[in-house]
Amino acid sequence: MFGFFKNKYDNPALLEEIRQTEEKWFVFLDKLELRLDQLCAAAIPELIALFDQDSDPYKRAHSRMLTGLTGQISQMQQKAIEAKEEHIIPFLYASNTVLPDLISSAGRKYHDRLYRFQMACFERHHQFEDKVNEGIAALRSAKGNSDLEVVYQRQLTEFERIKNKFSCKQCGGKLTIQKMFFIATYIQCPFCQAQNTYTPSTEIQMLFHQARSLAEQRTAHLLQKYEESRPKNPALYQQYLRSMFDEWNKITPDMLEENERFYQRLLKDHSINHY
Amino acid sequence: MSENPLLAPIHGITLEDYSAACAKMGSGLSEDQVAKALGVEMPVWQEANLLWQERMKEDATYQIVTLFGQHFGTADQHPKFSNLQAVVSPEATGYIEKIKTDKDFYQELEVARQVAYDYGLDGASWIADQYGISLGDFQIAASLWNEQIHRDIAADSQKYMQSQDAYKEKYRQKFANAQGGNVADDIEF
Repeated sequence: MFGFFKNKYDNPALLEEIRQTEEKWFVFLDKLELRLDQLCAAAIPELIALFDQDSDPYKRAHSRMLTGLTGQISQMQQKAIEAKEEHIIPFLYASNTVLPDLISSAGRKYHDRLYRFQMACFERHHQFEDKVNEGIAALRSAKGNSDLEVVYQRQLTEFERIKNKFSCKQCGGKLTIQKMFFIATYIQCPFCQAQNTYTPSTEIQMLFHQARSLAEQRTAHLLQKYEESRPKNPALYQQYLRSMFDEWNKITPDMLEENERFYQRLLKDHSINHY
Repeated sequence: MSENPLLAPIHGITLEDYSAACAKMGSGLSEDQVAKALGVEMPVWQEANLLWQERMKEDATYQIVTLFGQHFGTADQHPKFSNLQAVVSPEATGYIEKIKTDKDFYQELEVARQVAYDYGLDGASWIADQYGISLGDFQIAASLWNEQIHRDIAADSQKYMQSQDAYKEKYRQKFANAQGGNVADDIEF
């Protein structure tokens, strides 16, 4: 009656351009994902082998290879972001400006199509980002045999083997290292009272730095219980933290006082952040 | 006003001593040399080393780690280490001086170091190999420039980001060319 249904907006060229742009975007991300999969498939066995073969206690060669690989994945991620910013988003804005008002029925079909295009492209990018995160997580997990408990037990056995094999530098008398020390320590000779310096092996020194990780490994199930609680239960976190620090203190009993102060600090920090 | 008990010396080793020792070990001095410079034996140094780190963990105010950073940056002026320098070439000496006095040079190398890691290299070793600048000297420079760079960002963050992006692009190309390109160079929209 008022001519509202006359002069409907008609732009088949725009519809085709939307279709092609969407298809190009999907093909582009498909190619990146395929390359990502190929990279991870080739890299994971190499990372595991490198970790197992590397005698460096800090596993630096493994770490360098890992950061190189995640660096390449970041390049792919950045490539996708730049393509979205240079091609998809400007296209969306430009297309919107040529369409009639959204509230008019004349352009409704085109606005709907453009909205579906936007959602499809953003969702596809989101899926790509998920694949990137999965790939990075898979690479980070490619660590070979990293059970700290095995390493710790091996060092305990080794220590028991060697603890009676030291001699006083002054009188040659037999020295027994009474417990596992993680840093250079004075040992007094029971025969001539001379002060000797015992320096633990690199592997035992490493145990000190790995003690917390081992304690966390032993109590991971409690942390999981806290993280799965809904809503997050602070009592479960405290239970985890107390158990973790108890395990830590079993491994490095000489650090009990310092660890307790650190425990109190972490508990306080968590209560501040939790509430 | 009572002094913070966490700042008390450990076995006679003050926080300034400890910070400078860490900086000097990063610059190439051995633990033996550092312990000797501080006038203590190895067990004493190693326990103090351990306990200073525990103090930082315990300190919720971050005062200790902040002071550590400041003292780290002035390690070259610490009297106990003034006669002790790692052996470096004259060229390296020039670069070490430059990184502490030329902010742009420091910032460019900081980016180069990070990008090197992204390409599977040991960034700190790359800097040492190219310029003779040890990790310790690099960290000293970082401490010296930290506040100024924060001021620059606050004053003009866009300019800062642009220069960072330019450095990143320069070194990405350099390291990518060295390894035959990036994994997905052939994939374009």
